[in-house]
Amino acid sequence: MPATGSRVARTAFARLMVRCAVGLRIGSAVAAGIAAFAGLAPPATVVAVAAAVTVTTVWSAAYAVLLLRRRGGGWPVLGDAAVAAVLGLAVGKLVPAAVLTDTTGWVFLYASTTVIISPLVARTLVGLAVSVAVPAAYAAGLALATAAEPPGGALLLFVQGALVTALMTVLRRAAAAADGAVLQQEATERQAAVLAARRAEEREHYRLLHDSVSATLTVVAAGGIDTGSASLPAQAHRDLAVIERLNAPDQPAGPDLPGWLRPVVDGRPVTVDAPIPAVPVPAAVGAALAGATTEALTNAARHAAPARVQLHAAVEPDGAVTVLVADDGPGFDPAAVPDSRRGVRESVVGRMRAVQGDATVSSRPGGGTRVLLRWPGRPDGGDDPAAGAGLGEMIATRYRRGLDLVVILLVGVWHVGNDLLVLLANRGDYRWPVAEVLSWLALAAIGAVAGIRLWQGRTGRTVTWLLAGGALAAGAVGIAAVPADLLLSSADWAWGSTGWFGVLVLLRRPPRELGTFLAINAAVAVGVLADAGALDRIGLARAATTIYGTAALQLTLLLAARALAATAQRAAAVAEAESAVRRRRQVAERLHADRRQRYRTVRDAVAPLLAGLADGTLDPADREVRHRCAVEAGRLRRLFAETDDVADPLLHELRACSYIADQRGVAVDLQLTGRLPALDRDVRRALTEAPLLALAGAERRARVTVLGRSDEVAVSVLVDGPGPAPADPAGTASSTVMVSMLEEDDRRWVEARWRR
Amino acid sequence: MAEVTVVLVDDHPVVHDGVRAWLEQDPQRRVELVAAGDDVEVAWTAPGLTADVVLLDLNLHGTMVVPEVSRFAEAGRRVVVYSEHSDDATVLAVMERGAYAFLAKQEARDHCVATILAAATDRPYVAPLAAGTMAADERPDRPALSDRERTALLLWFQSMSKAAVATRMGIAETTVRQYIQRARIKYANAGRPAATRTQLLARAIQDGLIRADEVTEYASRASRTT
Repeated sequence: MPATGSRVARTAFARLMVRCAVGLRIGSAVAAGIAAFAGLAPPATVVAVAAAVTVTTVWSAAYAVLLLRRRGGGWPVLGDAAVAAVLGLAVGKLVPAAVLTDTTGWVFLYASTTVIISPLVARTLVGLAVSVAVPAAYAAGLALATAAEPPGGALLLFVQGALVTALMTVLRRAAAAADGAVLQQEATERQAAVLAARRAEEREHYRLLHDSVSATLTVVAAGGIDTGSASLPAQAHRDLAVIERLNAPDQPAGPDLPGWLRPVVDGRPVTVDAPIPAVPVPAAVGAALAGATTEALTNAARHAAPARVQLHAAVEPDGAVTVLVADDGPGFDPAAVPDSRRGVRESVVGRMRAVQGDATVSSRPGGGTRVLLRWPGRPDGGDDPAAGAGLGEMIATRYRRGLDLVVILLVGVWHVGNDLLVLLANRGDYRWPVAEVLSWLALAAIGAVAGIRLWQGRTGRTVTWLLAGGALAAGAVGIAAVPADLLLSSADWAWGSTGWFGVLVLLRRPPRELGTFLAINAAVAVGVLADAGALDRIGLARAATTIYGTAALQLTLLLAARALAATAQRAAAVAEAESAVRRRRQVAERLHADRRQRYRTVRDAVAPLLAGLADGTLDPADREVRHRCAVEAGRLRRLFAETDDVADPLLHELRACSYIADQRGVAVDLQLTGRLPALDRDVRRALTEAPLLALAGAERRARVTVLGRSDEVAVSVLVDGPGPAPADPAGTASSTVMVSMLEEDDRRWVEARWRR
Repeated sequence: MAEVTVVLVDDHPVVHDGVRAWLEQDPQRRVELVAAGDDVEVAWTAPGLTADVVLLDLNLHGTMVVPEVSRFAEAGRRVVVYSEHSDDATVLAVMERGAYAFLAKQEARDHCVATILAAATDRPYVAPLAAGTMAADERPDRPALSDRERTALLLWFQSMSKAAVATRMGIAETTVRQYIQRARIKYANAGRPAATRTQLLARAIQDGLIRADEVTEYASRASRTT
């Protein structure tokens, strides 16, 4: 099953568990096989042991292959349980009499591994079934062999299986939570990316239109072009090409800086005083530099016509790309440029800021004008790897939390549920019962402190080592207080438990520290055995079995904890890659839809007008043509204004509508009373449409009033000179906006009113 | 001989000339400027002291002199305020303190003669911007205007022509005038106690804009909210 965006953490976790299960299975099969021969004594027979060890060895290899190939439980788990159950039933023929009643025999080690690894790779119910079936078979085998003894080993097997099953539930929840968080974050990021991409492209398109179509229409509306102008048809053709480009599938990518700037400077009266450095720039940056340079050159041609214009492109030592456009024309006072002039603000500065660059315009009356464009070079780090790292950290945190909880629960449950009960049951048999109790209490206290520190993420070396030393000492006392005849029996609880405290204390430390801890603990145990004279062949096999059985689990847990961090990074990388694909697809879809809609809106509105101006069928000096240009230029301006972030969008857009009238020399007076409620873009368009038409007809004066109440907004325009084309205000009404008009003498009064 | 005398308080000498010019545009020359100064003292000393109407610029030497409106109103002086600060709060505060009318600076040229003449007979005159402010008023304790009164105010604010408002509303121009004046009297009725408030309300009762039993005691906004 391929990993999907919603399952990456769980899938990666499951793979790690498979590796742990395979490692433990093979390791325990080898250890058990060695112990089986090393400790061979009646009633075990060579034939039976040889047959059994052959089966376990072959099966373990098969188990590894099956599991790694399938990447999950199922039949391998059932097969493993069957092998363990058969061994359990035959336990009376496979181990020495001395170990039948305790948990130090090789069959116990093999069965114990089975009940522990099955829940790692199987579903909860399968894990529980194995935890019941294998101990039941083992109990039956014990009953066949010894009849009288209580099946303590079988009970322990059941407890182990049930405990691991419960702990796996906790860990799987953590992985599922990580997946949920990944999904949520991805959705948020995708939304933001789509929005940003849409806005960026919208703005870029409006900049293009501002510099071309809108500028042409405004000049015509203001009466600045005479009949038979030579330059207008050419400009109108270029504007039509700009509109067609809005529908182009994607921006053409310029290979390098000259590739972007050459087409801009060719054919214009500008001196390029040095070769343009051939550095590669991202397509968006190249487009921004080209667009901003075009606007700077256009401005220079418009306002500083006879002057000399120079362009200088360079790459600075820090990798920043700069383009300087300088003229020695009359200059201007930058402070005196009104806010509603979009040229410099949007087309130069806005363009550069959109690509993390900047632009400065310096000019003074009589001193020429310098426009400096700057792009700081490659963004440091880049966005996607950082996002992936953040995601990995998030998944890792969830995993870590789950594992911390598991280790704390494991040690706590074991120390109370096993160690304490064993201690109390055998309290009369210890050499020094008080020392045994103190050892238990000391380990409990160390465990509590270590658990709290683990949860708080504190890993300071000094305290950690003190706790580890304390645990070793307390464990040694606990082992030493056990009489010789009970060594390695279940009464010898400290023998196996001390290692788990090592895991709790050293979980966040390098593995060699836990390795050292476990080695010292084993040395103490073996030393006590030797001191008691119990280190014969069988004793050695029992000790090796027990040491392997506990240490392997403990080291595996620590290594799994460390592997989880890397697993989280891999899961995050997968999630990030998949989410990037989905993001790109959604961005592309939305951009495509936006683009088509924008193209149609603009084309339907202005293409016929521009075509008429281009082929000469429309006379730019004609009043009606000028009026149509004023209307369409006003609508474009309003469209541009809609992309600005301002406190009062309606007023901002009304000012945009008034701009064309202002350019035509109309004195516009704007009055606001009351407070404007938040209005949707469609309502604002309906409210401004009739006023826009009326403003296009104004001759000398226009009074614009806006009244805002929480449930009502009224926009009214009073103009002199009704204009040549009778506007159709009723056509601009919408379901929530009413439009009324009154004409008398030479006044036209139009009102658009919205009611909630 | 002019029917009405006015004293001008404004700190811009250019405005003095402007006001004189506006008054002279009236063909019947009904208003005479008897005194002008850059401080309110000019209205408290002869010959300004006896002028029928005080025309007050709200911003004198960089200070908003809203409290001076109260001083004049308590003394029964008919104050017409004009200012470039025409935000809603200022307009409402000036009316609440007993000024007869508020004119935005750009309205003064077209409306100052009509406003001064109305004030001289203790009648309210509402210039378009103040009408818009009243129509937009949403304060919880605002006077209760009827829908038609509010509509008349809004359309007057928009069109600056009572004839056009009458056409839009389908009523006589005198009715438009009545709606607007009645709305203004409701604001006077809700204003602070002052001699000018009494004068305005008394004239309104005579003119039939409001009944005597509709006149209410003023309760300050502070005491109403506590």
